[in-house]
Amino acid sequence: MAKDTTIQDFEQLPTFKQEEPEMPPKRRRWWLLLLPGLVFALLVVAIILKLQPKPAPQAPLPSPTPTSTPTPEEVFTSPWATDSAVLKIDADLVQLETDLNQVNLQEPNLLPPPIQLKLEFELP
Amino acid sequence: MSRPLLLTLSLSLVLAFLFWLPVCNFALHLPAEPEGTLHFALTPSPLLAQEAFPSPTSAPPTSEATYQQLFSDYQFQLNLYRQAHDDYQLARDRYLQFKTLTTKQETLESFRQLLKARNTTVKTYLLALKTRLQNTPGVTPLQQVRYTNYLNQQVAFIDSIQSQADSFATLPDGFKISQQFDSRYLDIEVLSYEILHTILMGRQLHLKDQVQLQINTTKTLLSRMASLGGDTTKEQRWALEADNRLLRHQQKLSQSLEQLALLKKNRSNRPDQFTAISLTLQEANQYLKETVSFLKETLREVKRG
Repeated sequence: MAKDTTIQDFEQLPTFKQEEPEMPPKRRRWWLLLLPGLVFALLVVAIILKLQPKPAPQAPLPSPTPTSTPTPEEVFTSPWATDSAVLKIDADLVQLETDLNQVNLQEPNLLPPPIQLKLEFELP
Repeated sequence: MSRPLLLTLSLSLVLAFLFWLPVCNFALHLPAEPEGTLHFALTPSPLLAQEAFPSPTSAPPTSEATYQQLFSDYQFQLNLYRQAHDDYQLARDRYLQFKTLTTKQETLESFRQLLKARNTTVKTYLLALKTRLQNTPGVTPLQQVRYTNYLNQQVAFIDSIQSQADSFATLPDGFKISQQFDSRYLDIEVLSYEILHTILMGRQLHLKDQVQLQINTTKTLLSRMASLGGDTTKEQRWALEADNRLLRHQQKLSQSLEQLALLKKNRSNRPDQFTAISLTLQEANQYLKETVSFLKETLREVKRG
């Protein structure tokens, strides 16, 4: 009886080709039509978005400047409040206050000049 | 004559006529004046022209302007004096080092220049001080006359020293003149501080008089209100408080006088001593401010009713 003496040839290993499932031709055609359409649609959308008027950049709102609340002017009820003598004293006092704030009580420039005395020296 | 030249000539003639017209017009409308008054037109002098046609904006020089002018002169002379002092020191050092006739002569000349600069500086200072004194409100006429006389005496002395300084021939002669100035300058210094104090105190007294006037007016007003049946007890008490502040003010003025007396005796560090006097007068001013503040409060109370 002849023995099956098959020697495995490692050099010539059979290659296993993985078979990918083939897309049916009908579907492929659909894809071929749809893909450029999608690209075109995306382009159109991008152009439309680009052409849309941009919202004006919002200027930074200035921080509200602190304003001092004006103190309500005192209402004087006395009949003397409008007396001419009272009003005159009032005006004179305001003027006097200004004068007192502005009076010069230093005069540093009018101090006696720094003059050097005793200029003589022993002659040789 | 070529055509462009003719054109240019005629154009310049037209322009000249246009400029000349207002001048003629002005000359024709000059007011009739007696003979001899138009000399300024032939020999234009700015001063005369100014007198003939005074500008509506030009005002006569005020006393403040005079003071500013004198003060600028003083500052200028002070700088010249400093320069002359440096030059003299340099010449003196060279003379002491080389002992030559040339360096001796240079020292003599620089010493002469120094004396001249020193005299002029002190003189312009005194004139500026005098103008300041005369412009200060609150200085009594008696004080003005008195100090003006003193200042005039010092200026006359400086003038006499200056005439000597122009003519001395040797360094020892120059030294003698300088020593005369030195001994006199001590008096000038004291006088200057006294006048400065008078000026500052005059300003305070002037303001104090105005404050006193307001106190009196307020008191009169309160009396009138009381006579009409109003209750002014509180306001009168406040006016009295204001009056009391003036007493403090007076005390400060007296203190400044005591400080001045010390300054006259003590020669060391007089500028610092005068600064202390100035501070005392500022404290006095503070009391005046408080007085006015009290019066304003009193008046506000009157208006409230």
